[in-house]
Amino acid sequence: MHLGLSKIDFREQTAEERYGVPENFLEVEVRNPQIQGTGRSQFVDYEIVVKTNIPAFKIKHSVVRRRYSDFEWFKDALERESSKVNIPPLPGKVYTNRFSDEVIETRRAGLERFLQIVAGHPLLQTGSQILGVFIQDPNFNRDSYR
Amino acid sequence: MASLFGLGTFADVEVVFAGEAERKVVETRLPAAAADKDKEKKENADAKRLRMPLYFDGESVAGKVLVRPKDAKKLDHQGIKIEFVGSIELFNDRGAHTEFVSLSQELAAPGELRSSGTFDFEFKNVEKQFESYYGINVKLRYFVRVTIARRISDIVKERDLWVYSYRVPPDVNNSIKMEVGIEDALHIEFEYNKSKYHLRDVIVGKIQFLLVRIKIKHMELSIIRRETTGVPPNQYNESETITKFEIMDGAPARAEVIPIRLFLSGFELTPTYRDVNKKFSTRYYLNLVLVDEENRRYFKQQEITIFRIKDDGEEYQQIAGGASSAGLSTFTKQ
Repeated sequence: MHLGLSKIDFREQTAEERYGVPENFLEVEVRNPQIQGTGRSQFVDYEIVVKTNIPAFKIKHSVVRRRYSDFEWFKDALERESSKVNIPPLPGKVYTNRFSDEVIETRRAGLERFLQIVAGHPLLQTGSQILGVFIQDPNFNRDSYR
Repeated sequence: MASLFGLGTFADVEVVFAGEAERKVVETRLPAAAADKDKEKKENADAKRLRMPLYFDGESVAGKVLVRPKDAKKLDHQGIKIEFVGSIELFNDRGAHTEFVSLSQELAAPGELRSSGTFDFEFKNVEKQFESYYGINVKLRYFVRVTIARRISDIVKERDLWVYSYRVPPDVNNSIKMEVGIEDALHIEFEYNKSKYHLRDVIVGKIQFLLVRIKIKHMELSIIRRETTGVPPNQYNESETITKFEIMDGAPARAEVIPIRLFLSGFELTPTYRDVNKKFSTRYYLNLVLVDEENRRYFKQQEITIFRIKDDGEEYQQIAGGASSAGLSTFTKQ
C-alpha cells in the first residue's frame, strides 16, 4: 500500500541499536562531602563522579573534588560564556552552621541538581570550554582561568 | 448604537432567506481567544454556537423582510432599505471595519406602516470572493442589513450568512522531508506525506532518529494557527495551538522510527488564507517538539497548506470523538 512516504531509506534498527547501551548514557553524582583543613580555614568539599559514553566528555569515568566557591566561579564562568543558555541557580550561601550535617546535605543535593542540569545540556556539552574541565579534570585550578 | 439587533422599541424585524429549509447550515463558534476581543460579544451573548445558512460565490441572496410594528402602533419611517455587506473587522487597531462588498436595495419609500409588512428582496449573482472567517483578531463576515430610517434613531437588523469556497485538489503535492537537529547531540529525519492537506485529510508521516545523545522524555506534534493582521509597520501576529498530540512516550534509540497519523477532521481548522483583501493571513504549521528529562524543548515548525474540497455529504460524516470516516476513505483510495 503506497502511503506517500519514501521507503528506500527506511533503515532497519540493528539489534545493538535496539537493545544496546544507549548513546546518551550520562550519570552525574555529587557525593561524599568531607571537611578539609583545620581551624579557621576549614571548608567542605564534594566528590563529583561522572560516568558517560557521550563523546563530548573526554573521560568515560571520572572522579574529582570541588568546593562550593569553585561552583560559584564555575556558574559565573558559564554565564559569561554563553548568553543563550539559562544557567540554573546554585543552592544558596550559608552563613551559620556551615558544617552541620543538614546544611551540608542540602547543599550537596543542590549542587548535584545543578550539575545534572548543566552537564546534560547539549549546547554546553559541545560549546563550553570549561564544563568538561570543571567536572572531570583532576588538575583543574580556577586561578589559571580568567 | 444602530447595531442593536432589532431590539428597538418600535418594531420587530425579521429576515427570512429564500429556500432556507433546504439550504445547508454551518455551525460555527467564536474562537476562545477572540471572545474577549470582539466588541460585539456583549450583544452576541449566546453566540457561542452560531448557525448560519451557507452560500457560495455567484449565488443570489434573496428572501423576505418581515416588519411588525409593536404595540399595534403605526410606524412612521423615512424609508426601508436592505443592504448586502461583506466586511472585514479587525479587533485591534481601533476596530477598523472594511466593507469590501456593499449592495443596496430599497424596500419601501418613506411612509407609514399600519400593520405588519412583508418586503421581498433579491441580490442577484452576488460576488463572494472570500470565505467567512471568525479568527483571533479579525472577522470576515457577510450579512444583510435592514434599516428602517426614522427621525431620531434608525431601526437596524442584521442577519449573517456564511460563505465557503471550494478548491480543486492540487496536481502536485510533494511530501515534506527534512533532516534537522543539534550538532553532535540530536539528529532526526522527519517526513510528512503531503505539503497540502484538505480539511478532512490525514497527516501520515514518520520520524526517524539518527543520533540521540540527549535523554528524551517524550515527543509531541501540534498544529498551530498563526494569524497575521494589518500591514507593516503595524503588522500583528498571534498564534493559537489547535491541538497537541503526543506521538512518542519514552526514550528512542538510534534508527528508531516513530509513525505519525493525525486525522484533521477532529479539529477546528480553516483553509490557509493568504493576504485576504490585503488585510489578514491565516497560516497553519505543524510543530514537532521533543522534550528531554530536564524539560528542555527541541522543536521544528513546518508550514502546511490547508484547503477546502467539495463535500460529498454522506462520505464525510463526523464521528463523535474526532475520528472521521473520511480519513479512512482518503487512506484506502490509494
